[in-house]
Amino acid sequence: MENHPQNQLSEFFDQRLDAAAQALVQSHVAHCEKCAEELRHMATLRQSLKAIPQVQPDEVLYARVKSRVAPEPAPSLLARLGNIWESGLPAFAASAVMVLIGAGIWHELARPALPRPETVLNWDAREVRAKQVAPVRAAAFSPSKKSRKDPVYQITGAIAERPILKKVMPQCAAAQPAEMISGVIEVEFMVDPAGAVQPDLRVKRTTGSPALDTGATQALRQWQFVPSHRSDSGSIRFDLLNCF
Amino acid sequence: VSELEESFDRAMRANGEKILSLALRLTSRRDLADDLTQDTFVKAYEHWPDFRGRSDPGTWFYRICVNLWKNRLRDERRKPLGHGISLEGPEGLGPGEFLADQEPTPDESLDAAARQSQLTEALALLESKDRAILVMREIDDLSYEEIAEMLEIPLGTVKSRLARCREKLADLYRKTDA
Repeated sequence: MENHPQNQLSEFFDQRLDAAAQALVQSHVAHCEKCAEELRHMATLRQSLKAIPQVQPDEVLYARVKSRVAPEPAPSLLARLGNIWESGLPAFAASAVMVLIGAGIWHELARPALPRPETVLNWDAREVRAKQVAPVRAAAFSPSKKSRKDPVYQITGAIAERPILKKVMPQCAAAQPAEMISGVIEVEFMVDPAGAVQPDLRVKRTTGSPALDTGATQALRQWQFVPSHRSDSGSIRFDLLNCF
Repeated sequence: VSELEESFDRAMRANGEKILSLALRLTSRRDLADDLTQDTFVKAYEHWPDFRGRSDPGTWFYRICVNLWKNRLRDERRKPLGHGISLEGPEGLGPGEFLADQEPTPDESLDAAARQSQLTEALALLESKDRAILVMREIDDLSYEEIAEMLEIPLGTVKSRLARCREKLADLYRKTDA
């Protein structure tokens, strides 16, 4: 019975054996179709692995790195006002705040005009820049570290190209979440031409907590997108454990 | 933006593809790969002032990425079964979704596409460190010694696991030939 150098073929393939062993295996392979075939498979495997395409990061990834390493900016007065607006406080309450801070607001107003308020209500300047850099594959982020209660979210699919008019954030997990939950939920959803999120959502990935899942889907149903001539679908991912 | 930040940004962008691809191959999941890539660059940024110009940033990022991945793997193993995100296999996403972003080029034959899909599935099903060894050797052309040092495992383990992985994955081609 022929003695195949089975346990040496891999090293032979990488030319890692010493000269004598390398020559021995070489002479065996020259007349052993089985071992020659093993080597051909190794070569095909290497070729196929090398042929797997590289993956190009999008601008969103770079923007997220930058937002994590950038020094914390002082909260903008206008951004704070925007948060007040979004939180649903009555207009008179916002007016009262404006009166209180009236003396200091002039220099804020002297800044160049911000993009449309509905797109920046809850973003800081860095995230607005990220959005502008990557308008095609749009992905939006939760507020910066100044607001620690909103989760990070990312939208993919056709709907990512439609600006958001209103967003309602789900609750984050508690500081010490129960074990067994990932905190990440992915939901597929459809938006009608009027910009409303359709009620029949599909949870692709669960957080592991029914309460968190329900909170996220209920929040998403209240989102409003800019109207369009067609319906768009997409997917949203909330990370409810790592809220910034 | 300071000169330091600019130089980091350039290095990050020059190596983004390499690190994300590595992260994807190590984790087999796009969401984990994105996280790992971000963490790699955040970590690198913290040490950038000390590192700058000492060697190739790509190699340095690569090493940071592997180290972070190893730490996560270690943390995962310390947790009781079922807690947190497993790096051991295609949990959550099916193995077929590994590299799901990749689209075949128009001239690829159906056979080649099917074979690549089978390969990525098989790769995702390997034990994490086996997959890392295979990726480092076959895709990134690291030597046995470099792999052993980076993964902190004996040289003999690199040899035996590499041989085992090759044998396992060669099954794909044996079946095709049959």
